[in-house]
Amino acid sequence: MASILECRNLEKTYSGGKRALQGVSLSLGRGRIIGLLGPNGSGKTTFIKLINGLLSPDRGELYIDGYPVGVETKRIISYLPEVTYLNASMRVQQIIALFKDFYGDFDERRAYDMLGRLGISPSARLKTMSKGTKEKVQLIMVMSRRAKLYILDEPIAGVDPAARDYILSTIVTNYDPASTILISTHLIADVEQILDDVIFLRDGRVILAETAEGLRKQQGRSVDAIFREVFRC
Amino acid sequence: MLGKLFKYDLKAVIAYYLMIWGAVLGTAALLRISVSLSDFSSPFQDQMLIGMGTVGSLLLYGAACCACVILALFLTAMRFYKNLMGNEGYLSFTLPVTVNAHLVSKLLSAVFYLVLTYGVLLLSGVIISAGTGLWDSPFGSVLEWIVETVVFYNPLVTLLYVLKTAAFLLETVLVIYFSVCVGQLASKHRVLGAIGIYLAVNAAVGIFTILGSAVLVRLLSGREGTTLYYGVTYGTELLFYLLLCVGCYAGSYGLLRRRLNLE
Repeated sequence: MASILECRNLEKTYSGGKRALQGVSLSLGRGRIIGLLGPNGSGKTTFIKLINGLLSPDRGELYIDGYPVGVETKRIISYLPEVTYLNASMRVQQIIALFKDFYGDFDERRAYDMLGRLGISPSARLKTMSKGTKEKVQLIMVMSRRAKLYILDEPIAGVDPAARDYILSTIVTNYDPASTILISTHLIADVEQILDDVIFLRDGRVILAETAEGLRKQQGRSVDAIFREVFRC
Repeated sequence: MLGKLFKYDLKAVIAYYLMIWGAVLGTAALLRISVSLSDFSSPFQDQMLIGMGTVGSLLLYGAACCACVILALFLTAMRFYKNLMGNEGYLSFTLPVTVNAHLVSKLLSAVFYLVLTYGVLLLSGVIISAGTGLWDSPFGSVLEWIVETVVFYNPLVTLLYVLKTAAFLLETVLVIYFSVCVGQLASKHRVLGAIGIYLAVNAAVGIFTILGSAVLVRLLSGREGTTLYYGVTYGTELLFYLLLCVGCYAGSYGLLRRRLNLE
């Protein structure tokens, strides 16, 4: 089966001259949970923005499910950015209506179920919620889609350990096994147990792309320990 | 998808517009009431106090009208900036819609609200003048003059006037969008950059308009007030605004499509 994402020689340099990505070539398999790992400034978010069409590459090719980045690929990608991207003045039920309007794969019942389990009122406005609750609402919207590719940019950064557990269990229990999840993070220990594959990024280059299990067997250490060794300051 | 985007663009700012329009109509009603109370022939009223009240409500109404126009332009810019260049842009640009759909939806909703805003200003004038002698003269004669003008001149002139006004509204909004798109190219002070571009574009348009008008006046010397005079001036204005619209739209589209810079 063809991979869900293929990219060849992706290059991106920002206007200030910083080379964010340098010759990135990758192939992401279907039905995998993949960790995009690297320290801050390694190019994780730039790569994710290119996949979502929020930035344009300077060079290289990028295909998702066989399509170049565009309207077709946005239909099949469910993206959780590291910022709060929902209009704070909207009520949760209005946000659900918006997702239902634009995404044909949005499962409204799943969204209301998850909200109910967390005790979040659908009539509450986003601006009245704590940062953690806003992030949960955002995650619920993203995970309520039946997408082919989920892209989660730092989903557990800046939240308390209890919220981390909730976020990870929500991700694992709500995705379709045929779908692929790409999780960007530098908090390896928290996500290691759910990863099938890992990609290490440093200074905009892919320095390692392996299965998590294969890497652990090969090095006799956890992915977290390998990460700490590779990216030691 | 365009219809859905349009629906959300309308809903996003309606509360602000209702407040602004409410303020204009409220101050117009206040002015009308204070004018009605100004029965200076009555010996029992404090003329000084009533006069001050009328002047005060007139100033308040004037301020509300100015604020209404400025805020309408501000809301146009803010909706575009927040929804596409701010954090909301992460959602907007990952919706399965084209850049054209985003631009057209925002343009139509902004023009829709600008037209309604001018309509509210007109309505406020009706409130102030309702039941007064102004409806006999000069308002009555102004209306008659408009009808006579449309009948007298070639209907094409009237059509050109309507079209150039519509093009002017589109141009007003598109210059704002283009300025915001150019401003986002900067890594810092994007809003300031957008304001600078907006002022520069409007200054350039102003200079070009003055020069163009001078040339037209010279060319049409001795033909003032004729169908030819209005036809040529309105036609030239229409062409000028349309060219600006195309330039600003193409520039905004190109920048959003190829140089989007959400950081």
